[in-house]
Order: sequence, then C-alpha cells, then structure tokens
Amino acid sequence: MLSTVKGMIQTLSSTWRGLRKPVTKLYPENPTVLQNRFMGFPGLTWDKDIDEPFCTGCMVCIRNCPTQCMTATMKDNPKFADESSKRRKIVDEFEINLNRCILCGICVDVCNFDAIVMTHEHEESGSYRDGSRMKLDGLLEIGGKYQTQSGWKPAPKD
Amino acid sequence: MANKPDDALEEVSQTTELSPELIQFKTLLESTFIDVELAFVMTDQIPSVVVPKESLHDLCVFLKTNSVYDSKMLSCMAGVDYVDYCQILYILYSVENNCTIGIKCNVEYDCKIQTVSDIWKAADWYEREIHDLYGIEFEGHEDMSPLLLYDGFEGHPGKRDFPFYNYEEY
Amino acid sequence: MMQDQQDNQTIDMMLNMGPQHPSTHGVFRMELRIDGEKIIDVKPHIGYLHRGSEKLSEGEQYHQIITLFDRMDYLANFNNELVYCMAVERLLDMEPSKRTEYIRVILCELNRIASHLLYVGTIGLDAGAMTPALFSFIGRDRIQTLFESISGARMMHNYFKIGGLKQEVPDDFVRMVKDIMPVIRRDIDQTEKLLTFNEIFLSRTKDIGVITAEQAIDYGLTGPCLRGSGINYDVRKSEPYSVYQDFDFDVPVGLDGDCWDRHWVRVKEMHESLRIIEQAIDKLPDGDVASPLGRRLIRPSEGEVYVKAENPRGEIGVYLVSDGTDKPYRLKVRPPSFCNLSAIQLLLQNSWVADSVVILGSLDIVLGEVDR
Repeated sequence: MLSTVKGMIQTLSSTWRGLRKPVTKLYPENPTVLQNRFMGFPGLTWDKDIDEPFCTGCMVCIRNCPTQCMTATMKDNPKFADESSKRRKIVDEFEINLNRCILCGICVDVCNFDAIVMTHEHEESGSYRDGSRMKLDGLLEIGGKYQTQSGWKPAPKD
Repeated sequence: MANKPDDALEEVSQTTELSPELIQFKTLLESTFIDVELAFVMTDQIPSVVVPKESLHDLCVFLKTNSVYDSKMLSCMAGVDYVDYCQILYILYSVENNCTIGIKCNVEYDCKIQTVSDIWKAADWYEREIHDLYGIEFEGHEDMSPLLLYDGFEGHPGKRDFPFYNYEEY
Repeated sequence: MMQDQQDNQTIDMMLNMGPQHPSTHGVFRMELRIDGEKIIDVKPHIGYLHRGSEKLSEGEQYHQIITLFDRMDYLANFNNELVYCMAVERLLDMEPSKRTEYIRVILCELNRIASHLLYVGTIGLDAGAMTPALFSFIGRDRIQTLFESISGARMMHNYFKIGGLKQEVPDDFVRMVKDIMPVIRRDIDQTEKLLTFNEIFLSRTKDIGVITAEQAIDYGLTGPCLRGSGINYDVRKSEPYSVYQDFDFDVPVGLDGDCWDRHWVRVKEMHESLRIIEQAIDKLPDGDVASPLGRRLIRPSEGEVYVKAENPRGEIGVYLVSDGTDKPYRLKVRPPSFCNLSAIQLLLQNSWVADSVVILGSLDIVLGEVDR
C-alpha cells in the first residue's frame, strides 16, 4: 500500500515537472532546428562562375543508387564550343523520384564533380500523382537554395 | 566454388594445413563415426564438418550431448543455393565452453532431409524459413506452413534463378 | 441436471491478435486459442514485413547493402551497420583504423541506449503506464539529434562504410558526447524511478512469462532475454569484436527469467553502455577515418565468413558468401528478434490474455528484423 502511494507521488511529480517545462514544440510554428549535416532530398548544384550546373550527366550516381530512383541524359555543352566552359558534356535531363529515394547519400559520395548535394529540403508535398518526380529545374532550385543558405562550396581540386 | 557435392568433398580433403581446433574436431568425430564419409573445412574461423544427409541427425545428437562440444544452442541455420544442390549450414554454439562449430549438409533439391527441430527448438522456424526460400522438405517437422511468405506464393525466392523485380505484387 | 451440465460446457475461442494491434510492436499476428481468459495455444504468424532483404542484397553491390541493414533493425541502425561492415572487412582481410573503431563503438553504445530507452517506454505502455513512454522519448530524441549532427539522419544513417566512416565526425564531437552523458544518465534514472520498482509494474511483470535457462538456450534466445534467465552470455565479452576488449564493463544477469528480469537487465545495460562510452571518449585516438578503399569497387575474393555481434536485442550473425564478384553470392542474417520471438508459443501457453501483451513487449522484438 505504502509503495503504491509512493509510486503515485513519483508519477505525479514527474507529470508536474513535465507540465511546467514542456519539451515538445508545436510543429508548424516552431519547426525543429536542423543540424548542419542533415540529409534531406538530393538537389543539384549550380556553378556560379560559369553559370551552368556542375552535373555532366555521367550516370555514376544512377548506377550506384540502391533504389534506382534517378534517370539522367547528357548533351553536348554549347559553352564548351565557345570555350567559356571546360565541361565537354552537360546534363540535359535529370529526374529523381523522391518517393523512391531513401536519402542514403550514396550519390553524393560517389559523385566526381560535386554536382549533387543532400539539401535541407524535407517538407515537399504534391497534389498529383507524379508530384514526387522532381525534374532538373526543381532539383537545381532546391540545390541552389541549399548553396546560398549553407554557403556550400565545391571541394578543392588537388 | 564447387559445383557438385562430390567435388566439394574432394576439394576439402586435399587441404593440407589444418588448424588445431579443426584437428581436434576431426579426431573426435572420426573416432565416433567410423563408417560415415566426413569432410572437414574451416568456415571462416569456425571448424566445420561436411556430413552426408543420412547421418546428419545422429551427428547433431552426438554434438549436443558430447562434453567437449556441448552445443546446446543452435545459433544459426542458413541455406545456400549452389544451383545443383542446396547447402544447409548449421552453426552450433556452446555457452559453457564458448566454442562455435559448424555443420554443412549438401542436399539435392528433390531430396528430403531429416529435421533437427526435435533436438533444438530453435530449428523450428529456421527450417520453415529454408522451406519457404528453397523448397527443401524437412522430414518429421510438425508444421511446414509458410512462415515468411504468404499462403499460395509460388516459387522459391531464395534460389538464384528467382527474378528480382518482375514478380507479382500481393 | 443434464441440461445444466450441457450448458456449462465451454468451447475454446479463437482470438486474432494483430496484425494491426498497437502492442504487437509492428505487424505481427497471433492466433490465440483461449478458454475464458486463459491462453491454451498460440500460433504466431510473421512475414507481413518481409521485404526479402537477403534476396535483394544478392543484387546490390557491397557498399549499397549497408542501406538494407539500416532498415532491418530500425531501432539499432548503427549496430546493424557495424556487423555488416565487420563481415565485409573480414572477407577483404582488412582492419579499419583505431579511431574508426572507437567512434563506431561510441555510436553503437549510444544507439543501444536509445533502443533500450524506447523499450522502457513501450513496456510501460504495455503494462498500462503512460508517463514513462513520454519521458524515455526525451532521452531518445536527444541521442537522435546527436546522431543527426554526426551522420545527417536521425535513423537511417548509412554512416559506417566498409573500412572506415563516411566522413570525419564534427569538430565538437567529443564535447557533444560529453555534454549529453549526464543528461542521458538523468533521463535513464528518471524513467527507471518511474517504472522499475513501481508496485503496479512489479505485480504486472514479476513471475510472468518465465523461461528457464535450459529452455532459453534451446530456443536460441540471446541478448537480454537470455541474460534475464541467468545465463552470462554476451558476444562483447565471450568473443570480443571491434575494440570491446579495451573496455571494462559488466554484463548484468537476471535471476528468474521473467518479464521483470528481462526489463532489469536492459535498464542495467544502459548504465554499462554509458560506462563504455565514457572510457571510449577518454581514449579516443587521433587518426584517419576515411576508408582506404576510397571509391573503388569492392570485389572480395571467394570465401565465406560468419561474423556475430551483440545488438540491443541479442546476437546478430551475418553469414556472407562471396564468389569473387562485386555482389555477394549469399547473405544470411541471423536476426536476434527472430529467435527471441520463436519462444512466444512457450511463453504464452497457460498465461492470461492480459499478460500476453506484457510478455510480447518484454521480448522487445522489432518486426523489421524478424521478417527482413
């Protein structure tokens, strides 16, 4: 009997502590602070010096993706002809099915051109069935947003 | 990698260097099972014996009651499809002596193998799983209903020729 | 008179528990045959979450399989990644650097605490206590935030690579871990005070779901379920892997093998994990964590390995057969929850329906690992 009362008091005091100092936050008003390394949806980066994407459509990330969620095609880079860019080929179309993507970050690890990053974007939603398929412009948009927010820079070449 | 059970036996008997644990294991088993053709291999760091399926049950009972390899726990049971035959690996562990041993048994797909679920209860679900994935029949097992797959699933997904992606969704 | 007797005759009732039952910890169905409130027979049905991870891994390259291991035991991701990485490393006959091993151990032990904290919360819910769940989630969330700042993901990390780590830990890693330790200790104590010696909880769990040592070994139980029955078996002690031989820690062992003992073992294990982390963070060596393999394709030579490690739920074993290509020939996981759950038939027989939830909760199963 005594220990039951003791247990009750213990529980009540904990409840009281919890009521006074809540640890939960209301979601849309106070979103959780993301850590620097947070891995959200993948996005493509933009080379501001030459004004073109880093991605050359080399398909390394596509071959290494565990879920086969991406497709890409490449084309001849028009800027290579007038010698304003060193990239012979450039990405033409790029598509990531964000419903299939498991946010593992393997594509970022294997990319040789620092063209793909895991952005902080994680709250995408769409109202139609193909809404989760993100095309090149969308990927460049979230990638560019991440670039400006976090001050991302390509890794220095040796 | 050997393609036939006979090849596997020849291959391992040619191995010259044996580790002390394996020699100890070998002498004990060869003195007990005189008529049985046994082969001894190291599975990674585990001394193992390749046993014909007829004497598998006797060997398991012997290893469970033996004082040196007091294998009271069946740690793992795995089936491996080598196209022509299926190899079933039993990993036994003794908590008191802290030693691990392995038993390998090669079974052709149209053959049956004796169950060990009367020796270790842990084998019950493992054998059902292997039955699901490889279609090996275990003689004397009480309940061979599908465990991981749903009722009426056709094919054996553990086999190498089972397709990866173009299967029917349930 | 005859009529009365005939009326009193009862027939057994079949009761389906699950697959959408909140206290089956996932999608797990039990066919209970009950006589009044007493369970006569149980027929467990698993496989609702069978994704064929073993089969899928035969079609994936070695570095991609880590993502599948993350999703097997989704409460102890780092521990699962570790055992797979160890298996491939042994196949390649390479050893990661000391710093890698130490960071791996620290993260694994933190993950063990997080997993056990979730267990403490859910066993409370199963026994009818709401508050411990809320409090234990505070501690678990702190650990997960730490994981997020290290690996970038709260649960599916994909941080351990074969032969190393994905990237160096943040600069303030040591400070972060040191800061979190007293907070986690306080969280554990708080949850423990609420639950472990609570009279109601004791009466719900003491002498319920008893499994003797012989039965536990026969069913292949490992981890806290086996240690609760009084068997001192921990892979970290019996066959030390990684750098566990460097640390001084005890293996808590229960006495009776009932639900409370299994609970107590887990609570004590959290304190032991904290001890390991303290020692590891003090001894953390300098060095390189990057994998010497780099981005090269992993192509081990022919061979087979069996590697085992201690998960929060028990002994996890990986049997890996390589045929010399870039994909494994066969990968078999010995999931601890699978074996622990196979004893449910024995545990539930002749117990009450109300206790079945507590017994199942005390086994601490993760269905992602049972079904794979």
